[in-house]
Formats: sequence, C-alpha cells, structure tokens
Amino acid sequence: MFDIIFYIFGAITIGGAFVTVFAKDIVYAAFALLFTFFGIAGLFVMANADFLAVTQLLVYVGGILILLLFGVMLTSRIGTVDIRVSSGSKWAAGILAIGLFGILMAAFFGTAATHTEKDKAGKSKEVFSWASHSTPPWMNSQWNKNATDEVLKTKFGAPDEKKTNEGSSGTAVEIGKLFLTDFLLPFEVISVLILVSLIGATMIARKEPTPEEEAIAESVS
Amino acid sequence: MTVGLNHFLVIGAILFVLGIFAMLYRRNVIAVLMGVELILNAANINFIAFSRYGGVNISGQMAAIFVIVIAAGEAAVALAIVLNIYKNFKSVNPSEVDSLRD
Repeated sequence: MFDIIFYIFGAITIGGAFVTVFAKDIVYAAFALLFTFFGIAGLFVMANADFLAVTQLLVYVGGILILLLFGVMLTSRIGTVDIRVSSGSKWAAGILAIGLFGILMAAFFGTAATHTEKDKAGKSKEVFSWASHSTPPWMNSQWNKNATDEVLKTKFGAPDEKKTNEGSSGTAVEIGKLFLTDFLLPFEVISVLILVSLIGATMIARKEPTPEEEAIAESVS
Repeated sequence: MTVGLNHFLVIGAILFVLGIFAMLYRRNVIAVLMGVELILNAANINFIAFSRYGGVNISGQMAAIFVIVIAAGEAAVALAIVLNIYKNFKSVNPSEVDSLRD
C-alpha cells in the first residue's frame, strides 16, 4: 500500500515537472508546477515529515506559485510568438542534463548506504557508511532530546504531562523545540534574511516617481 | 521492491536534472525561475529522505525548512528583478538582457 501511494505521488511529481519544463505556454508550466508541489508534499508525508508537508503547501503553493503567476501575467505579452531556441543549445542542455543524471545514478547505486562493521566485542553490525566517520556536530544523528527537554524544563518549568501527547503530535513539537534551542541562531539569522529580502524586493519593484508626482508630494508635505 | 532511500533519491535526481535543463533551455526568465524552484525542491526531497532513512533524523527536516524559507525570499527578490528587467528591456528573454544600464 505504502509503495503504491509512493509511486502515485512520484508520478504526479515527475509528470508535473516534465510539463513544467517542456510546456510551450508559460501559464501551463506554472499550473503544472502546482501538481509538482502537491506531489512533493505527499512525498514528505510518506517520509514522516508532516509539518514540512504543510509548510510546503503553505509556502510553495500559497506563496511562491502565486508570485510566479503574478510574474507571468505581468510580463507576458498576449499575442507574441514565443522565441524558439536554437537546436544547438537544446542539444547541449539535454546532453548535460542526461549526463548529470547518469552521474547521480552511478553515485546512488554505486554507494552502499550501509556496510557491516565489527564493533569492539567483535560482533558485526550494520552501520551507515557516513556515520563511521566522525559526525560533524550540526549533523548530529541523535540530537540529544533529553538535554533539550532539560533546558526547556529549567527555563519554562516542567511540561504538563497530560497535555503533551507524545506519538500523535507528529514532528511539529520537536521542530518547535529545536527552533528555540539547537537552531536558535540559524532561526534568527534567517528571520533577518527574510526581512531584508522583503524590504529589498519592495524597493526594487516599486515605481520611480515621476518629477510631477514628486512635485505633488512636495506640495502636499 | 520496497520503497527505500534510493527511490526518494531518484525522484530528487530527476527533479534536479529537469530543473537544470529548464535553466539552460527555457528562454523566459520566469521559466528559469521555475527551474530554480524545482532544484530547491529536489534538494528538499533529499534532505527529507536522509532524515527518514539515513539516520540524520529531525535535523534533516530543519535544514529543509531553512531551504523553503530561502526559496521564498529568493522568489520575491527574483520576481522584483524580473519586473524591473521587463520594464527596462520590454523582454524576458535572458539572452537579450545584456547590459546593466541604459
């Protein structure tokens, strides 16, 4: 059952992406992108990332796609013929993309995700290949849930055991905790980044006032 | 064949390659931006796949959230730039946009 649903979402995602890339009409491409984003949200749910799936729908479908559609509507001239690309650049792009795909496939299927390793007692066990190297702290495979809970407890008091319903709460609770503990600095930095990009976008996109408009503004103030 | 890490990675790779192709092939800045979004989504799928199957756990989802936020900021700024380009050049073909000033 899991597999069937996965393949359905995968087909929606990839089909939408193909239409996005190859559709002649840019509006069709934008609508095909909608299906791709929905499919990706479904894939996120398949991989136990429910909070991210909702975020994906809100930000991509509700925000970025609408923004792209605005861009399409504001820039496309109705009735103009789409400039066809020379076949040379088409072939070059196609060969590059297919070559890249081949390299990626070779990397995926040529690399074993796990390998057996003997521990100190001489028992062989399956370990992740990249985990046998010293893991960088930001990629901590087992983020210390107990330590995080301890910090939260000393700061905000003990959580109400009846209200915290572990297991059914999904990933949102853990992500919220991580945002205010281990990932506090990136969280703040990205808040500043999004504020700067917002102000920057309005500054870039706003109309330069004409001299007459400036004179009117002067006389009013 | 049960669905595992490689299935997610293959879907991510296909999206990534299609995004690269769109960036190189399309002759409309908006379509190029769509390619960029596809690439960012491909990266997100990889993050989520490794967070589920690769022992990275919830940290992978955190990285994906940051990618989504940066994609939102990128889309806003890029659209503003595209509107300005259209205003100045009356075209959204990236090969025709070849000067920074009038």
